[in-house]
Amino acid sequence: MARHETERIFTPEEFVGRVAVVLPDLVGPERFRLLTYARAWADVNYPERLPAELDNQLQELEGAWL
Amino acid sequence: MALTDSAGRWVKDRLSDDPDIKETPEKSAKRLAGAIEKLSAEERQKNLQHLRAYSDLYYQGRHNMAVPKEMTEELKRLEERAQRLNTVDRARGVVQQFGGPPSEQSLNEALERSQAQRVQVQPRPLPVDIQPQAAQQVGRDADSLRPNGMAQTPKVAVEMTSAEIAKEARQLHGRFQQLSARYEGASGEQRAQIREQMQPVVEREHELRKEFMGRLNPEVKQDRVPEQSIGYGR
Repeated sequence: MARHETERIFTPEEFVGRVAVVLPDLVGPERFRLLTYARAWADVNYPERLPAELDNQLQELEGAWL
Repeated sequence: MALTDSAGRWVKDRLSDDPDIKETPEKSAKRLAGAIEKLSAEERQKNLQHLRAYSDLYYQGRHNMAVPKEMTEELKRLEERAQRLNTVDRARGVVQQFGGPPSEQSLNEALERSQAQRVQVQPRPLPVDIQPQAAQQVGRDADSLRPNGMAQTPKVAVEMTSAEIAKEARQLHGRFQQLSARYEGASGEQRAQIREQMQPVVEREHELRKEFMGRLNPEVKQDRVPEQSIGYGR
């Protein structure tokens, strides 16, 4: 993967999608860390209110992995 | 009726001279709503408490009436907004703490850290005489054996085929011989450790042998009745 691609900043939706893919390969603390990161990134990008679909995706992942 | 109430309050507000009440709670709420984003979490909480108390003082104190539903709802909206803003402030802190906006690199780093942690928790190398290669030399399936030479999840003997029993018994015999050889040249403390390793090997071998013999002669399976003591050892 080219350098500019690895450094491209994810949108909250992209990040949640990528996190969902790598979660099974992570150890427990890293899962917790990435899910916290994903939710924080979503919150920062949607200060008024999280879109329902994104919130549901995050809740599903948190329910399954935390 | 609401209009009359409102007009009555307006008149009373003009005639009252209370230094603690300078404006309507609605006006205060509007000012707070405009500034809430710029406040810290602590200031938000403080201002909300102040507004609630001010609203009670204005309606229940000065006008002797319940706080109107609209005002209660406005207070609730402001509280929810404050909570959301507090969450977003915390989220900003988390994103900063984790290195800023996420990218593919963030995921790669998490994967690398996980890999490193997995390597750290892998067991230490076994002593030479019980390393997998050594285990294979004595004809055992090294992957299925624990350091003491026992199968990791030993099958119950009665569920094993005779061939499986024979195979495991050979493995145990090899292991026992290996331990015996070590025992000969070991110091006192080492001997105690070796004896501990021998014990489960012997017990398992005994279990397998008993089962195997029982298949040849079912009576052997039964525990022997203790012989009558005759007063001396044989």
